[in-house]
Amino acid sequence: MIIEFEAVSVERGARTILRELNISLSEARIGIVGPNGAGKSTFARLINGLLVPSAGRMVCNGLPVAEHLNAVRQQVGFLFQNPDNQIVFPVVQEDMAFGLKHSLPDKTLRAARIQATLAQLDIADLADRAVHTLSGGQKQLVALACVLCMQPDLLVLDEPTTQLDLRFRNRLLQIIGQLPQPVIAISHDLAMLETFERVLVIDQASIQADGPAAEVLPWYRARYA
Amino acid sequence: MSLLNQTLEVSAKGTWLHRWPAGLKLLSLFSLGTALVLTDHIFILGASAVVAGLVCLSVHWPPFMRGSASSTRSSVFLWPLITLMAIVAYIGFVSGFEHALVVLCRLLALLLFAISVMATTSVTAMMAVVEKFLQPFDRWGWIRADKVALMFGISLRLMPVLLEQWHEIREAQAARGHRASPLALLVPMLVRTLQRAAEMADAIDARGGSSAR
Repeated sequence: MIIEFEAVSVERGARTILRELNISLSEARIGIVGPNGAGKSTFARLINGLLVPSAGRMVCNGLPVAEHLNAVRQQVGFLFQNPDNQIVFPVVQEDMAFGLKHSLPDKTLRAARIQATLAQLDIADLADRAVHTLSGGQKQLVALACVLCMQPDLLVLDEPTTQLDLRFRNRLLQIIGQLPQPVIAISHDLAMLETFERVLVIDQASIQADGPAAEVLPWYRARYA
Repeated sequence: MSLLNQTLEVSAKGTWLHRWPAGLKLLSLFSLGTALVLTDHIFILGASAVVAGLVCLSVHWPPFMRGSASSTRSSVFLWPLITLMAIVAYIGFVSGFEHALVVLCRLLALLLFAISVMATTSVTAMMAVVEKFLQPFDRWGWIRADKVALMFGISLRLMPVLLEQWHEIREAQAARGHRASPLALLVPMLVRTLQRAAEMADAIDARGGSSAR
């Protein structure tokens, strides 16, 4: 899976969020770090077309994102920071079924896919639970299950551990570590990114550092601590 | 949390009411509701409340409501009952005991029938009924039936979320020593709800929810 930013800029009013990014992403584990308001979430939302660049072009696996939105969104799963805003149905398996409604119309196959995904994350017991009765950690796992059941080719995670306690954080990291798909994770949790192949530092509308986690994270800690 | 929210968790076990088609259940509920509103006969309303209670008891409750802890069961019923009693007490004070009894039986019957339907019907099934019901209007191009059905499902999901948000805002203001004023509560509530709506729309888009057609 290759994501390409071709001279991509994003502007909001007079403010430039991202300026002429030219970058190609193909590694299995990519981390994005940077100060608050630096444009990390904007960067992530460009990948599956949730945001349209003011200038330049996004290309996902050879497909221009703006012209193939549906195809790209089927390939790129997006996990939001707040699971309460991502889960749109009152019951866990109904929310998972919503995502599969168009891609998997057969109800039996859909139910089997949902059960398999819940089992993969070891949360099969949550299938019939009302979402509002779940803890924050359980909700984040359910939100991840909703994304994974669509079998995306790439996962984009927007600060996935921010609202989690240590137990659920470790569990989520273990799950993410075992996923076969490539992952692009935005995070302030630097320990999470230590094993990643590539880390980008975004600040002042551009990429300030780009390289293996072992090189970039110490630089980031020294400069931004 | 309200009884309505608790019933969103549909029991997986099948009872006679689970086996009814969702459309038939909603149609029956609508017909019963209309009939109960049109009659003032205390015996009919009393008998309806008793039947509604029996129907409620005959369906499988969500797991936590079937638990042995009586405290859980009573806490689930506490606020709806207090609300109901407050309404009845007010009507009794204003219009007299007999009218209050009529209102009590009517509301109790409606509430129990509605709970029975909610507890035995999945939101997806209810959405399918809403979508099917609106299909003619969709064909005439007046509305998008699938979008209205989705809105119905999301509104059920948002009830507990917005309730929690309301409590958070109220607590945050109380912690700063502010008394609860409607404007001070409504403005942050509105702003946060709009932000949430925007992010939810993104989440639906990210899962291809807007690509139904």
